[in-house]
Amino acid sequence: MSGNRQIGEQYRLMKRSGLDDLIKVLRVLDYRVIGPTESNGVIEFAELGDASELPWGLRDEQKPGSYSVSKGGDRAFEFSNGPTSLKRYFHPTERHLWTVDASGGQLQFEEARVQVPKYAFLGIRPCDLASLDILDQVFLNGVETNRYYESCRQNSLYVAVNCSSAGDLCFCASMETGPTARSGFDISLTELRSSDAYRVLIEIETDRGRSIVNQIDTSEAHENDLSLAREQSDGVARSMGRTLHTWGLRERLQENADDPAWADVAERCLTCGNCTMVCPTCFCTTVEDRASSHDQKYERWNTWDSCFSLDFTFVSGGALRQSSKSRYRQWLTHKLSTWVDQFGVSGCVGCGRCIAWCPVGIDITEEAARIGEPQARA
Amino acid sequence: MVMPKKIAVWKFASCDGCQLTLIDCLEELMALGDRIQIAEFREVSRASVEGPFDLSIVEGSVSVPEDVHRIRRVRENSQYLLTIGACATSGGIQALRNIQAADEFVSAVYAHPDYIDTLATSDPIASHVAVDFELRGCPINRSQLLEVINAYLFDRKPQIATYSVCMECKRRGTPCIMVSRQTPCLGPVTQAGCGAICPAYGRGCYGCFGPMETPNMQALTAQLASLGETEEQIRRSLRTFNTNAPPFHEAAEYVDTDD
Repeated sequence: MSGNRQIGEQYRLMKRSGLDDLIKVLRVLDYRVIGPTESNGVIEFAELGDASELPWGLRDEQKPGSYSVSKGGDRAFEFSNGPTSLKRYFHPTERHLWTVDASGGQLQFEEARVQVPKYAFLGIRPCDLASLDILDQVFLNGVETNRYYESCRQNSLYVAVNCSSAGDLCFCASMETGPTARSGFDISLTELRSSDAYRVLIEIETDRGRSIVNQIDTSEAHENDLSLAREQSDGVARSMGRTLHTWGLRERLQENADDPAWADVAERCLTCGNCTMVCPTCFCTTVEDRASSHDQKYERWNTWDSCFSLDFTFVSGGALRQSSKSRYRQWLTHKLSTWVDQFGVSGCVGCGRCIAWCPVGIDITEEAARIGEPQARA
Repeated sequence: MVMPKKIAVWKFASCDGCQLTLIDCLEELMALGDRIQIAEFREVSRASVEGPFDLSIVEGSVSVPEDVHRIRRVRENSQYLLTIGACATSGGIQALRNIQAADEFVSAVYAHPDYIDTLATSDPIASHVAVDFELRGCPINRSQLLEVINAYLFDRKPQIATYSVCMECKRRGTPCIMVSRQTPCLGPVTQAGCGAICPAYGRGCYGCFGPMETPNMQALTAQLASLGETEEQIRRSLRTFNTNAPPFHEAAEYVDTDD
């Protein structure tokens, strides 16, 4: 039977206990294992001790401005992305850059020594993997190399999970970032939907990944396992909750800066900055000098900022982007249009976080569709 | 040798909580040695040095007729005037009387209303004299206070964010409670500074730091209504420590949820 043909060393199968083994092996190798777990009513990334902490049998329901977790199914990765992206691990919310000490009468500069953790990320979705490719463009291939980011990227191990269902706010298919991981991982996992017992198809991409898989209990994978995974992926791609029409979008946004739709969304926008905080690719920061004058030491810190704050465009004479309209327009146009000019790719991976975690539920796919399309507002 | 900066602390209508935050900073302030001289700080010491002062730190609102004159004298005697806390920057919770007849409160609360001589409104300091910097919060945040004092001493701009509480909330890693728990929260319209404490414990933001730089009150109150809040609940949530801050005051006046 051809369907049962073995499919080579790149693929293996594991049972539920394989996930226990995987986490054990990673921890023995001194990785801090970061994976999804349920806490405070959300499924989000946190450090895992063992596989029982994965969100087994949990799903999420996401709508614009709304998120909830419920019971359903028997798998570990039945949910869509939670509020936390991987950004905060590679690009911490605040990072000490250097200290200057004036106590000796002259200025002594010292670069901050920051320990870069060794992370193993378990359960990265393809859209989040794509967000790391995008951040690479920003932090590694730009004018300056962000050395913290670079070390963290190199130290980390990546275990992707291919989506076996699509969320209501997902549109990775539009952005061509998912629902199946193509590259950028060491190992990828696909939970197979079948009537048989729980099985996970493992795809091995790197030597590092292979040496880890060799240490856990797996069995041979067959061609029908792979075709089941592909069928699942096709099904997920067809059932995306959202679509973002990207054809001509770059030009449409740049050419319609005066579209009345910008004023319409500004009426609803809180300018709170939540979308930029939860976005896996929004990377903007500010620099703060923290002075503790009594000991004459000054520290320079790099902290997350947002294009929704007035201070973000503060220059002599005031902030450039005073109106909410100009700030929302900046965010959306950069994300979907001028990002392409700047980095060669879109800044959006289709994860849907900005839609769910906007307190008033503004939907990026709807807003992008309105700009320069008068009939879309009818 | 740098001349010490003469600092004076003045209390107006307030609970003294923000002065306690200042007392909590004394260790850091003492470490400044002869850079500063505390000339007046009644909550700490009876000792008092004559003005003029380099820096006056004012807590509390203008609430009684005498305050009107006193704050003018403070201003005239101070090179730099810093107001601290919700009372000084917006009128405080006692500004609830601004939307009612003050004498009705007086007769309801006091056994001898005739002993009470109060203004009809509780006002922020800035509505009586020019203020150089307003530090928000009920109470103020200790690190922010040190930042403002240090910035003054070293003649630089204080780094005090005016964006929303949401920014601190997300940096802290708290998932939005409006989204995940349908909990009404003033975070999106409130200025950062507290470190987003309440949402981290599952409570909506109370708005202690007053309105953020560009608060969209209409969008937020509409969302609070869709989470099930009644007009009265929304109004009450806006009428607390910063009731008299114009965006909160106006939103409470005009809130309309069609309920």
